[in-house]
Amino acid sequence: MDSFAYAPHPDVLVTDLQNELVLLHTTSSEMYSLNEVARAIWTRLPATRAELLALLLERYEVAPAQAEEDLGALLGDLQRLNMVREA
Amino acid sequence: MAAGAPGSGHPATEPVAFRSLAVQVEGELAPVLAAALKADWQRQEVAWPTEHTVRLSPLTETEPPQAFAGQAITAQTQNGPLELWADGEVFRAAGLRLETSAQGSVVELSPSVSPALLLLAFTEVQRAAGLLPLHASVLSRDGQTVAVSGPSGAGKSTAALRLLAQGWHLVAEDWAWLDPLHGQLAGWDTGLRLRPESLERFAPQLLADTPTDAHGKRVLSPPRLTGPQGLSGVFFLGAAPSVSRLALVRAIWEMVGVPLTPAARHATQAGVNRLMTELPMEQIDRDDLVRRLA
Repeated sequence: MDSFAYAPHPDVLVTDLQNELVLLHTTSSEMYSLNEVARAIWTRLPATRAELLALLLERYEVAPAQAEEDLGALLGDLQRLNMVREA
Repeated sequence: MAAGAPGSGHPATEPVAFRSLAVQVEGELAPVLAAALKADWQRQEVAWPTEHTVRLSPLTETEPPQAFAGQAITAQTQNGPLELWADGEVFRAAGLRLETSAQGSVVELSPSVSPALLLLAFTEVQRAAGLLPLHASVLSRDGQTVAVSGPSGAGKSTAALRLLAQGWHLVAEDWAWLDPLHGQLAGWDTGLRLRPESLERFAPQLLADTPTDAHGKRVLSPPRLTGPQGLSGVFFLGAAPSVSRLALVRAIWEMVGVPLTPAARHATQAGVNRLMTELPMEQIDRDDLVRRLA
């Protein structure tokens, strides 16, 4: 598992729509919508993958394997869109 | 006027003290810069609280901005791309050192600073003080004030022209400042720039007396409503009406622009979040807008 901490990319603007958090990358103009669980992860940044996994397991009733898969998918999307980077 | 220290190489400076929108400007500056700043940033008196102080002084650094630690960045502005070097809260460019925080800002300038960088620096400090610049036409009638935004060429000015004929008054053609905390707005530009065919179609009687600018647009100068206005809602002109929340988020960021400094970003995000929850906003076709507000 990655040992480095993920941090929000400074070029990302965050808009709070109450029931979702919308990320907008100012350079690429890509947008990404975060639901409640993804929002909890985003607002926890900067954090390592292990810390984020622990947050999911502590806060939500989810099996470890599922949490790991969901977290991997989210971080993968955010990395691909350049919305997070190594702290 | 205070003379520069003998042998210091610094030009003479004069004291500067004025309020501009949400900031109090204080310090010493070369007279040519002081005059330019006052002309641009005292366009109208707005009695908003000025808890944010901007301290001005001549630029003391003599090395080029790239000589300092930091990251080279390009800011996309209405005046084209501008090169800066960012080091945390400190931004440097040719003739400029800018440091912003939520509490106050420090701006060091040399007379060689470009008007585009001066505009960027003062836009950033107003943003850090909590204001949002609106790239929008703003009109008011009977206590109702609306902002009409959209990309260049979407028809903001033409919509404004048609609404003037319906009894609306112009507050701003394309640039206003909004205090999102209190929902109050002040127009910051004058005139209404229109393609000749728009004027011919919607107000042909005005063609003969309306001057033309360097870009071939006709410049109409209707009386401008000054003083803060309470903003009632925002309309985004687009090709197709949309109710998508994501489309609205994109449209509102296009209207307020992308802040540069961390303090300005933080304040602007808070302001946008407030607008999204408190202000009616919708995307609408230009003709539908004019019918709605007739």
